[in-house]
This record gives sequence, structure tokens and C-alpha cells, in this order.
Amino acid sequence: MTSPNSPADPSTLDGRRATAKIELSDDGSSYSCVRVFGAPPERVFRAFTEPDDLRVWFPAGAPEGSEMTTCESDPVIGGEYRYAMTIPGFGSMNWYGTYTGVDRPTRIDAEEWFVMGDGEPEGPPTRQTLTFEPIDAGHTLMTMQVDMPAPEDPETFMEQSASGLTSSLSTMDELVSRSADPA
Amino acid sequence: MTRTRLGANTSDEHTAERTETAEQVLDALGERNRRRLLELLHVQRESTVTELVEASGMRQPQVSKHLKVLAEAALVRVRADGRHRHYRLDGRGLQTAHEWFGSFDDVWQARFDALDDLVANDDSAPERATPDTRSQDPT
Repeated sequence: MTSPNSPADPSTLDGRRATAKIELSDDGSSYSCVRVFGAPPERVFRAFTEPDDLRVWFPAGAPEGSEMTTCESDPVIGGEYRYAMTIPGFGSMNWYGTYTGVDRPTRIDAEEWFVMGDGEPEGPPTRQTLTFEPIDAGHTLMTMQVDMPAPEDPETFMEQSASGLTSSLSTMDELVSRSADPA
Repeated sequence: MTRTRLGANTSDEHTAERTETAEQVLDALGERNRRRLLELLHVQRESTVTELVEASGMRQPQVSKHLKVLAEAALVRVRADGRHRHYRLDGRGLQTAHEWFGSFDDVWQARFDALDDLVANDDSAPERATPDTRSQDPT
């Protein structure tokens, strides 16, 4: 029997944190996440699709003072979701999504457009798939696969995905830090 | 940490004070031709406008316009030498953007931790068994 203090033990928070894997593809066009959560799939599915739950966890990691001003979700095939977050000193970030596949509580497929500031979503969407698999006693293994569209329109590509934006920042960071003079 | 807004004086390239905002940096990076110029400057270390025009295939007014945006976002810096202006990469703009926007996997790690905290501590949920295995209460 595993010790309750073992870091690999999914019944502990640290154990579940240790399961997290987040990988960005080399070209920055897709990423995948894996994580164990301490509740059954139905509860985790609800957390990903119900506004009261989303408002609790979705803003985590955003700059301090950020606030989710809109959170709507209709988790059925053809249903839509809409999130908006205001970031102090910057403005708003907006997510527009359509559920293209819903197999409760096992799987969600969606198309999503990300827009910085005001403006209508445009161009091809990001495609996402989430799966929730029951493991151990009352835990869930979540996988997330996100495929971002090819940059057809460079002016809006950066607006279509916060993750794409951050991956480009990482690429640029690497370029610049190898070349820039120390200040 | 406060963010400084775009100041009126951006003509002094050697100012130590940061006037670029994260939004400016992200806007500057969001244009493919500007990213191309940054890549060229990475390879060449330092270039004049003419050299960038030749290397990029863009027209000179376009290159100049993009370099101005990049300079105002502190992504490139300029050194004047007689008639020529020499451009090189500047890391300050990216530093501004990074301070504002957490790294990609930090954001997801934070979200997953918050989600786990929410669902793992939720004792009010009735479902521990799927509906088709839930047994009826004998009454």
C-alpha cells in the first residue's frame, strides 16, 4: 500500500499535482495537458462546463486584479460558451466557444475563438478535446488536446489564442535573450 | 507592480525609463512582418534599414514603419552613426510582456490546481455512483 505521504499518491493534492503534464508542440501550433483530479468524472465534467465552477478556477494564473465579467456555458452539442475577463492595465480577453461534441461525463469537443479586446471573433477556430476517465477510487484522469489554426492572417493569429501568444513570446524571448545587450 | 503608460517622449532611445506597455509589446509581436524583422536582427545582430530591406524583401517605408513600432515597444534599439541608423534587438519589451502575462504552463498549472481544490473538497455533490447504478431507497 502506498504511503499517504508519497508524492505519487493520487489521493493527495501533491500526488495529483505531480501528475500534471503540459506540453507544447515544437512549432507552437498545439498543446496537450494531462492531470489527475480528486473527484469522479461527472464532477470534473461539471467543473469544466458550469459557470459557477468556471468562475472559481478559470481566472487562476491571470494577472492580479483580473476579473471574469462574463461566464456562460451551454454544454450540449451545438451549444455555446462565452467567457470574458478584464485584466487591470490591459483591457479584456474574450473566449467564444461552440461545443461540437458532448459525451457526458467522458468527453467534450469544442471550437473556440479568442479575441483580445473588443471585436468579433473571426478566422478559423482552435479545436479542443477534453476526456475524463475514472481512475482509482473516485479520481479522474483528464486529457486535453488543443490544436491552434495555422496563421492564415498574421494580424489576427496572435489574437486567436492566448497560448499561441505565449508560445510566440517564449520563442521571441529565446531569440532576444541570446542577442540583446545587457542593459 | 504598476505599469507605466506610453509616455509623450519616445524619441530618446537611450532612456532608462520604460514607457512601453504590455499591450504595445503584444501588438508589436502580433504582426508577422515585424516578427520577421526580429528574426533577421537575431541573425545579423545589428542592421541598417537598407540591410533589412534587402534581407526581408519588404519595401523601405514598410520596414521603417515596422521598426518604429518595434522601437516604441522596446523590442529593438537604435544606434545612430553618421547618416546610418543601426538596429539591434532589445530585451526590455519582452520583459514587460512577461511580467504582465504569466508563462503558458504556469497559467494552466494554476487553473488545474484551483479546479482540483474546488472538486476534491466538494462534499455536497450527491453523485458518487453513476445514475444507472444508484440504488433506490427502500421506503
